[in-house]
Amino acid sequence: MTHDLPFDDTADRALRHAGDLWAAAAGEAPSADFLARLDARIAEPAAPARVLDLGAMLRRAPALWAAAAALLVVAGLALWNAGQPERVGALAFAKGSVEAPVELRTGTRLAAGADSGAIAMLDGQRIALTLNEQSAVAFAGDDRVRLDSGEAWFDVRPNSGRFVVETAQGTVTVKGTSFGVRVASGATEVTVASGIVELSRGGESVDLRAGEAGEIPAEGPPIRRATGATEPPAWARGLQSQLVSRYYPSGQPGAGS
Amino acid sequence: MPSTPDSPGASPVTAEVFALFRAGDPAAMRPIVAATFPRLLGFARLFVASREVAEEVAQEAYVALWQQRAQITGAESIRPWLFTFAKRRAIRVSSRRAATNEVAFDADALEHVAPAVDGTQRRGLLDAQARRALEEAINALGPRDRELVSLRYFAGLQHKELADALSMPIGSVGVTLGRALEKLRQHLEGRGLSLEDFLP
Repeated sequence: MTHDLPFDDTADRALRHAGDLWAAAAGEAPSADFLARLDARIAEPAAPARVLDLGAMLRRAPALWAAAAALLVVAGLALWNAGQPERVGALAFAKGSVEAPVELRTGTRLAAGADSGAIAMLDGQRIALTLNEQSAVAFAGDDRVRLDSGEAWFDVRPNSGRFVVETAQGTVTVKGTSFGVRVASGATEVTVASGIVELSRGGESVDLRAGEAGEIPAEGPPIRRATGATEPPAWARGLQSQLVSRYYPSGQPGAGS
Repeated sequence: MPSTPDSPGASPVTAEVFALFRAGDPAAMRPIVAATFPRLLGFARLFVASREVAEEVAQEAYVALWQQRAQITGAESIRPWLFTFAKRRAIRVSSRRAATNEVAFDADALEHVAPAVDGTQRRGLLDAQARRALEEAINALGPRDRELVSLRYFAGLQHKELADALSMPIGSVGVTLGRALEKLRQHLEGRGLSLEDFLP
């Protein structure tokens, strides 16, 4: 018979305990909701890929950005899909009337028209991306977006790894921060509310901290300016509070940034 | 409240359940899910950054298992199949790790686990430094060793199931595992830690 224990019995036991702990922490008995959804999918094998039930996720999770995933989509936004299969996230909230659920995939572009705004949630990184009118964003993955024009506000959860915003002028790299990026007149402007953001172009980079602002100009290296904001601008706060009031009738969820 | 994870040695599926499963009776999925869910969710959680996404991966794995049941030759193939599928799907949906295929012990996955009040107890995974060191040690292994380690200790697969999942001769599972454990030991020792730190 094959000896069932590897060479190092103690090491094996230690790692089995680590694995047990991890499974106990990360795993639970499946929820009734999970089983119900599974039953439904098994009963209809020909059904197309299911759209993530973001409304249910929202009701379960406490923090604003983690729970912001809700049933989606909005008039005033133009969204077209490059057709690639990798899902990067979902559109969580938008101003206007709801048309249909939307999943965001690599290559998806999201553009806001006049008088509209949206919040997108990226999987994995727990990033909430708030867009207003005139913004055009393309998703390169769940940790990378390209901002072609307009402005966007980002809330990136700490310990979620690196996240990058690319613009025509350079890149904005963050880990766990709230910051805004605006592309206008051939320059990229960045404002940081919390955390640390790195602006770079070529081999040059500059770090911005809470309360600082900076720019990647049309030409030349990135620069830091002294003044900045310590909270999101009014337009981003407005959209985020609309999301909260719609999905948290009993009051505010956990801290938003 | 977390329940006790299924024992690594337990077969999740009786012959009766497997017969129903192959015959296309959806009722067979309940015992399969009940027996594998905690481990499957935890395993997926090694590769994706949120519980929600890990649940989606687990759901996809069960649906795929059901849809491809004609391919499953025996009850003992169910777990290797599920975990192999879950790994591939988890890596696909988490592009952050797609290139490297590595594991991560995210602190927030452990936030509901309360360490013992007694400060002398070894904390293992609950200690940030030890957790990071184990993560690095596992990720420093070659991809095949890393897969073997994650399937044995986190998926809880037994030797026969490991041989099945990795297409390796059952006789070499123990030897390969032993060598991987030695590498993990050395890596941790280089950081002033020990695998004994992870003992209960």
